[in-house]
Amino acid sequence: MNILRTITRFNSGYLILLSLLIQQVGSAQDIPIKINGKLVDHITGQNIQGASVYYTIAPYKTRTSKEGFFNINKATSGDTIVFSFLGYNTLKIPVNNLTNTDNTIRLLPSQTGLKEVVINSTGYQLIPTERATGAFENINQSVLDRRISGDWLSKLDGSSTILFDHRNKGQELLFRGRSTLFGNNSPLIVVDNFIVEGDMNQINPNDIASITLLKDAAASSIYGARAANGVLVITTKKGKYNQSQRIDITSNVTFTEKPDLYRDNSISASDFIDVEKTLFQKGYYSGQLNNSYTRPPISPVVELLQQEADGFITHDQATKSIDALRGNDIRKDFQRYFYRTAASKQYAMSMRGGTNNVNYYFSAGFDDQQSNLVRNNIRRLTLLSENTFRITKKLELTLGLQYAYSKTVNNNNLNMVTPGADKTKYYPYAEVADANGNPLPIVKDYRFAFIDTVGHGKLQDWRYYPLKDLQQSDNYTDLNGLRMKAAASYSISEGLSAQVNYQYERQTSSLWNMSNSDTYYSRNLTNLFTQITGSSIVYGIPLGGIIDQSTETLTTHSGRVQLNYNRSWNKSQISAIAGMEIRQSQTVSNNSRSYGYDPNLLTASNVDYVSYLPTYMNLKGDQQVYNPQDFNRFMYRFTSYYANASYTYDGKYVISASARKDASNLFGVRSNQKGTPLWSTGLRWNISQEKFYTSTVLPTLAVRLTYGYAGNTSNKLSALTIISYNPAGTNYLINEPYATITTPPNPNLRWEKTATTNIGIDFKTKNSLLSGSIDYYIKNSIDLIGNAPLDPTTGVTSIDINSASIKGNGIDISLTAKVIDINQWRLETNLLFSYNNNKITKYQYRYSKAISYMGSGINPIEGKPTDALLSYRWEGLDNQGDPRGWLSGKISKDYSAIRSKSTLDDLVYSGRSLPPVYGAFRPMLSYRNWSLSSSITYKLGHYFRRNSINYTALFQNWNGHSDFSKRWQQPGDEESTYIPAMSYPANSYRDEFYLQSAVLVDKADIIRLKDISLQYSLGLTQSKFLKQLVLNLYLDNICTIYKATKDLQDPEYGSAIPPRSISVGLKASF
Amino acid sequence: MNYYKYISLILLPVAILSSFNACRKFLDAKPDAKMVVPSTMKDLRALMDDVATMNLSWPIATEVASDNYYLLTSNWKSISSLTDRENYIWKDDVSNDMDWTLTYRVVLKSNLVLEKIAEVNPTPDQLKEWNEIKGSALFYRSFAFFMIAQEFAMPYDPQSSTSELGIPLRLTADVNEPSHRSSLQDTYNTITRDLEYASQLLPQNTAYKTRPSRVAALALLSRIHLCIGNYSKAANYADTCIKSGIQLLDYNLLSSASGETFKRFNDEVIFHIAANYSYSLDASICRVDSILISSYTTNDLRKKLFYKINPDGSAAFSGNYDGSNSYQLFEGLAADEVYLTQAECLARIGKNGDALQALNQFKKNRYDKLSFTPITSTDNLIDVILSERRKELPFRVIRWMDIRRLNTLAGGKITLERKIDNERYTLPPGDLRYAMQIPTSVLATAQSMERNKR
Repeated sequence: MNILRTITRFNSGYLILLSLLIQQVGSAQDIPIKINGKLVDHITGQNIQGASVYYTIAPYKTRTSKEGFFNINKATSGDTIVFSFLGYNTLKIPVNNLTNTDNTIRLLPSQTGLKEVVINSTGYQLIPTERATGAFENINQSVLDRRISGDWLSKLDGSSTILFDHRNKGQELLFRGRSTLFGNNSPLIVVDNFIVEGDMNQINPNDIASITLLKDAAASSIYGARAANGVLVITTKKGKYNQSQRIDITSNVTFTEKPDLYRDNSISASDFIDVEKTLFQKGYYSGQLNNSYTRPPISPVVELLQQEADGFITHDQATKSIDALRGNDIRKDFQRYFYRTAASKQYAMSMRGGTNNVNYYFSAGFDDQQSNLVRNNIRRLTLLSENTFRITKKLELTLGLQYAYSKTVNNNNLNMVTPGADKTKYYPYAEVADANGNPLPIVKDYRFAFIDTVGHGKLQDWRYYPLKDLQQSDNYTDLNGLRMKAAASYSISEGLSAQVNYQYERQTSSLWNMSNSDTYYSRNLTNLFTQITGSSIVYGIPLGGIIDQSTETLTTHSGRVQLNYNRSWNKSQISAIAGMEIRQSQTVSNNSRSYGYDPNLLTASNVDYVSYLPTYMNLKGDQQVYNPQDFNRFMYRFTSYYANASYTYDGKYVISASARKDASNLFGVRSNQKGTPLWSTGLRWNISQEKFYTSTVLPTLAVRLTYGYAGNTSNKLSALTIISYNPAGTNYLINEPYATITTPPNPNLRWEKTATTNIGIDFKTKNSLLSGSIDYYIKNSIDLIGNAPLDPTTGVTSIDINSASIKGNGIDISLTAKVIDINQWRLETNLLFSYNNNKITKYQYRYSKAISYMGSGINPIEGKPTDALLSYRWEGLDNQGDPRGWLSGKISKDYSAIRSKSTLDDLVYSGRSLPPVYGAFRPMLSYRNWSLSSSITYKLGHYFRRNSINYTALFQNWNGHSDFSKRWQQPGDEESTYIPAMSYPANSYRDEFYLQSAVLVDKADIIRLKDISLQYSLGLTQSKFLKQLVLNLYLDNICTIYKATKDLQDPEYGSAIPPRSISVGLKASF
Repeated sequence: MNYYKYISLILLPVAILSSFNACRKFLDAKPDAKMVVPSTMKDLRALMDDVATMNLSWPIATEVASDNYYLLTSNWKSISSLTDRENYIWKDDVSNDMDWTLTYRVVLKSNLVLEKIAEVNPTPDQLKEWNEIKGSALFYRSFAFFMIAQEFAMPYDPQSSTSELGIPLRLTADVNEPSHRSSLQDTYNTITRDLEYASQLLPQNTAYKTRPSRVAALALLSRIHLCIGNYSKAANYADTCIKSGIQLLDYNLLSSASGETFKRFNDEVIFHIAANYSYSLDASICRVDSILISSYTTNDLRKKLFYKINPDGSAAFSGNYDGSNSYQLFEGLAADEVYLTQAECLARIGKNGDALQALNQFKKNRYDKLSFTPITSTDNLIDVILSERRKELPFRVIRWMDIRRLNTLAGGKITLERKIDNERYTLPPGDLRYAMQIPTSVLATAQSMERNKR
């Protein structure tokens, strides 16, 4: 009970109020009372006919009439009336809490009742599936609870029809394919009622009751100008009226393996050394070695070769030292010193319940997520409280508060362990530690031969020790998020109610990056600005640490006034809403830096930011001390008017319509002020309700048809010439603020629009053996902003114009089959299948070079999908080991001409780079208290471009590929290899031709065993204390079952495949 | 109870309707505090003070293709930029996209400023600033056109200038306006007309050397008139420029031992711009032409101040007026050039005495004062001046212009030569490659753009 006391302190205000209300129950007088009223569905407001109404003490029982009325006599105060009906939660109300007449009792549909009612939340209203015309997808709590994860979003990967695209080191979410080319592509996220813009990780997954995806126009057009990419509505858990207190405690721990670094196809150390030796002989390094100005980084092998050439060491000594490096592998060091097996812990507690007039939900969660990267972790505390008060019978008030604090420690920046100058990757034989684990220096910005002797002890050590920096760094981000909401709903008359909602969101993130005086960053910068003349030393940057701080505060206000109308008469039922919304989102941020920081005294020093200071030995000429100070403020405002109505006749026919008009302050788009009207309409026919429908095979069958528009806004474009100011500190040579042209004027700019037609079927066979839904849709995106290449003579190389259209279509299928259901053995499988395809139907512009169509992103070509994968036609190697392509109908090796003269018709189209077919297969086997489930995800029918050797990058940037060892080496090799010979000098166009040629395009099909979950749940009905106990064992990212490509890298994740993890969890309910 | 119902039913629409007007203002808020629609003189000044765009991104290909330096085959092969490698051997259709794009970006900003400044009605107090902004924009645009003309159009020849292709003269900021090439005559007419106007608008001197002044306009006018053979005009502009108080550095007072011989914005600099970086010209591989090096006499102070001797005996350039160790080459206007232009033009129009005076004035600041004796002979005066010019202005992105104009004169016979892997490449006088090809990205997007002949 100690826990409870702690909670009480958190939530004491509400609890006191709550207990006062509960106390009313006790005072009783034994006089018979007459009570009448009406029983309605809490969500739809529909009358409930035939429900049982009875006392707990007195032996009296009645049923509600056709209109839902009930009338009971002989009530005694102190007694409790029970309302119960199939498919609804049973409700008990003390007599004292009821008035004599005109009681309106609302029953909540039960989630697990005989007739399963799935409620789809649009954030504006709740729509039961029976009356939904639109394509909703509901992800319920059991699906969310199955996976153990600190973030809720990843739980949708493989359990929804959203396509998670992991290709670009992050994740991009696609609802039914792309509906924009260069505009904003992320879906809108709504929590409870309002759009939430802060960090999504502030939502504790344990607080989520369900997630509804709004997929077609009828579902999402209520979000108007921001809905084209789909809408994701999160409903948090809530208390219910008349529910006894329930406490849930969740605790779990997850162990994640070290990732496998050996999938990155790096060139071997030995091969790399051989390349360096060859290049050295050809004089490639002579420019760099003779450079007495910037002293560029020189690798250890080249230094040894130079020492040999200068006669400082013998040939044998050089060879011996070099050969000793051949066995090194920097990945081994990284894996050993920068990675670890991570252990993450999660704890959550929630409490909910309600009396007749008050309900509450309160939760607290703490997460400690360790990263695989040593010294990186995230700690998060979340608190959520929501209370609803029925102040009078007509007025209901909800107050909610969510607070989250997180600290993200980011001390291990492995991707920053890169060499300086033009190098992009470390030579593969680099070592960050010796055999005993002591940090070793590696070449960074300047060659060792220079920094080892420079300064005569008057400079700080100028060497770079990645491992020391890892131990020294102190970087973190603090995030404080607060969300407060208030809602009042007032029932004006029967069926008509008004509601006012308001939400305030404030999130402050503060970043602190300290490079203390021992870190390379600080030492390097201080040395660079040090001037030594004789015995005097002048520091342009004071000795000490360097701190970067930045703060960003997001504040949003959202307000809504809405009228709801729900009424049924005879066989008709109408449900309508209309309202207006106003929203403001402001982001204020600033950056600052301090030099010469002393962590013991908390002091920093002044720096001359204005003058051009000399750099040490003129390494970088005269430079200003870098000052990142900057301030920003962004303010986005929207006003909207909306209405939505649906009419149901006889429970068979539903017609719905929705309209919304948005206006915003986004820069100079004409649609801003005029507003963009967007609308949708839909039909639903519950065929199985018809009298003529007598099928026993498919007892439930309904069809849906919708059409409508949703929009996509952009805040990057403008109708007018916009210039952007920059601070004087970032100007060159003079200390004056300056402005750059942000967008050239484009007076005809409009918001993008997507029209969606959706046809859907919902069905269920006898005994629910097979149930599911099938949706087919056609999406027409118009007025899309296309990126048009412009004649560079204009001063601009491209311009964004509403000039493109995409036509897409697809199928979403969700099927659930109960395969076995005998003797407590139950085998249920669920199949998610999505097919999506699209085609750019209009794109006015053509890029000047074929190479522009081979990027990894959007390659806009009329008649091709948005993610078309194109490549140069490949004719194999010739007997010189040179790759051959095609130009003007002839085999060609003129790479420069292939690059500049190839037209689109000369390119090979392989297919799409996103899977046209994807989904998941999810079997679940349960026996008694045990359940075993798994998900197998698949992505099929797409292609990817493999990486290979790029000689320019190998020579210049130290960036090699393991294909090097399989390259063409002598005539005849062209029969067995397609990897071009090493050419010197490197021809970047030859490299580019090969890397973008068809020979490197592979099938990307992949099937993964995503996860397995074993649950043991124990319902303890007898126990007064513990009601339920669930134990969970969860394995995630288990393995790849099938991969079409033989390449070591994963077609989706590249070399960074998420490592396997195992979790153990416990959930207890009291 | 019903009152509430009616009151709320009435109040709600009233509240909604009354919010319409408030909304208009609500939606007028600026989405990004840093962004503005340019309109004030402050905005236009800020557009011109964008040093990175306006002053530090100037063309370099003509310097890469000039004869101030040579590369060893091994170093040439180590250059990763194909454009740099191809410019070095004057390949037919090298695509110098960067030079074109970045220079026309200066033109766009200038045009935007010119359009917007016309909409500003200056108060008498603002008139000086107004003139300076307008003059600056005209100056930048003219300078940009001139540099583009040196790289992408054939040398000026009054005989054929009306039929010879010039460059696209973009005079508006409207990006939808198609680009087409003007005649060479129109190109130079526009450049000189605008610059003359700018010289009337600009103040004598400006707060920073990155901002154009009247002196800078005069210096540039003298360069352009020299380029197109208007020697008397060039001499006049040079004369006015010199009389406005420009200074020559006395090299006798400089020391090469101090690390940085020449400072950025030194007294000789009139207007500061710098060229795009090219690895071909990086001091670590760029070896100064040996004939050029050997042309300096021992008492010529430039030999030590301009060059460092590499371990293998070759020389590296270190006389950059952007600061000796800057990786960008100075491409702006400086007093030394004006003196040399004046001397040459005076000599060409027969004013040998005045020419000698200008030359000696210049030379005494360049030669060891202990051994310097003024020239008195007018024999081969033009050649003497040209030799001084050759020695004074290498790596200033001006040599290409000089080669082109000298080759169009009677007796012009400078043939450039390169050697890679024992293969010889030459660029003879009058070669069509003196106008580099219009970049491929331009040819692909500007429908009516004519290619240069090959």
